[in-house]
Amino acid sequence: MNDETDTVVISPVEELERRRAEALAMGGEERIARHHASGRLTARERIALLVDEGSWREVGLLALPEIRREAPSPGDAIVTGFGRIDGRKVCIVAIDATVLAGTTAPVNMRKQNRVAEWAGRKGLPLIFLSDNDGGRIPDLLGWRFSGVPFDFRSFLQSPAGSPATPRITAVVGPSFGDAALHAAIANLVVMKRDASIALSGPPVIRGAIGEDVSNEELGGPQVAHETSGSAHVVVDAEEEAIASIKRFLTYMPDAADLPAPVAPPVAPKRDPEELPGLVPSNPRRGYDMRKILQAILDEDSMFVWGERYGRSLITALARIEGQPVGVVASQPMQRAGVLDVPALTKELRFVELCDTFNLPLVFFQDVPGLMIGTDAERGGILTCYERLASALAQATVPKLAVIVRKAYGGGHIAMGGRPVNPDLLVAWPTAEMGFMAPDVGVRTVYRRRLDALEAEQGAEARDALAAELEAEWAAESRPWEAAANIILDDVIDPRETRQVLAEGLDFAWGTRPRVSKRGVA
Amino acid sequence: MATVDAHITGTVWTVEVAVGDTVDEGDVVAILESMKMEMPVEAEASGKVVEVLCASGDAVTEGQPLVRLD
Repeated sequence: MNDETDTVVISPVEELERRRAEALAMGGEERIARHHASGRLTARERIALLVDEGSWREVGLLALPEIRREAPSPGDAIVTGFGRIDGRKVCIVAIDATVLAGTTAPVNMRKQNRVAEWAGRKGLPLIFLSDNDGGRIPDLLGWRFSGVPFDFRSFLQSPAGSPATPRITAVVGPSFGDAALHAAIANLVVMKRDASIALSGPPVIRGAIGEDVSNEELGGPQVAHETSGSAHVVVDAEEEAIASIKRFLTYMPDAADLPAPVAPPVAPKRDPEELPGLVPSNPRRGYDMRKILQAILDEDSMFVWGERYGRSLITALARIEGQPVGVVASQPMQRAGVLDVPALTKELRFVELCDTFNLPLVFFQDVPGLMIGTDAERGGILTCYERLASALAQATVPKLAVIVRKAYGGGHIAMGGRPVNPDLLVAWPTAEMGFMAPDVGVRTVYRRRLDALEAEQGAEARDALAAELEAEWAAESRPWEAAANIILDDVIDPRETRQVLAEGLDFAWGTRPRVSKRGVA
Repeated sequence: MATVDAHITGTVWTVEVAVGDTVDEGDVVAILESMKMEMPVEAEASGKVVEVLCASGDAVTEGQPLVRLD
């Protein structure tokens, strides 16, 4: 830096203005044009869309890389600071991909860590806008990598003693390396359809293991949203990503020690009178659970979280009479609503999110059971199920469960069945409950008897006995005995569901502060 | 021209409409069988059936068009 030898003498304030202008120019006109041409907004344009006008307060604007470059490198490729969204205070980290490809290096990390720690200590949501190419060389060469100024005690979560705060990541460009890792722990990851997110980018992979993949094959929505479930929402445009962040925040408290925000009540979109007719009487007939939800939840209040991962289960933030809730609902249209490894994994993550941020869990069951067979075992269904059951049992937010139709085996328990201690467990008159579905149960338990009968008297006699035994099982599966033994708190008219749940929420919170124990250090 | 697509991979159980029929949004155009369950496929828009692209017993994959509407 040879500022001191400048012949033109400028005042200190002019010097500040010059430096600020340089910083705000990011990577320069040419790089910004190239960035725009690739269909991306700059970090500063993204922030402008996200925060209330005039509310942005940057920290670290004048930062520069430890190892200086010829190329403009303002802010060390990252923009950090504070702003307001609908008046609420938030902390923001936005990667500037026009500067040194948005790569991470020590000063850049120090900026990120500072704002993340601030969010945790002060109780503010933290938003990452991710568009980055991984770590920078030589800045992270050799010993420097172990010496990076990240402190994972305050960077990856709130520091000890400070309650958790919501973390949101928008993946609006290719995000490899540490940007991807930090997205992986966010409570909401929203990704643009042409973005990708992966531990390492294609060039590294080609060099290291000889695999030739595109960004999309590696970490596009088909992988990140549908297969691994690490991205919860996929959008087509950056503006939609920003809108998604803002909408998610409307369900979130600023921190885990505060109640989630309540909104004015809105009547459901679909007439609750339709509810009894929406569930087919034939137990083998699938239907769309979203229609049921439309007749119970506040209109347009559903924010679906992880739509195409574990699709036999719907997990969504929503409102009932204005009260924010986390909905966990079977989707009989997908795999009959069975709980497989992806569905259980998604549910566990969602339950942790809701229990941390004080959103009561509301379950709608039409579940034939847990998935069985070799695929499920190889995927680790035993651990998935047990961890979920344990998390549910320990969750301290209100838990309300409605049995819409089937409630079989571990599937029932994984969705608010009695052993996980729901505050309220009710059933519609259409409910079927049991250890396993009658047809499977009869075939398993009476297999020898049925085989012997077939050998003696033929297939017809076997089928007749099987039907008789199934009818016995089915009678036992009806909700009436469960209500008589107060396993169910009540059997309700489907049309009353919304009211039962709204009152249930109120009474389950009681007079205590509407805050759970999880996430409150 | 709109199509009604399979929402799940499975086998076509029955086709509930024929060419020339008028369907309303929410009408069942076909029933698929998957995971031992019957899965109705509903029209997402109203229209006249101009082509039936599947038959009973066909194996179909998610996203495959089953019926074309005018």
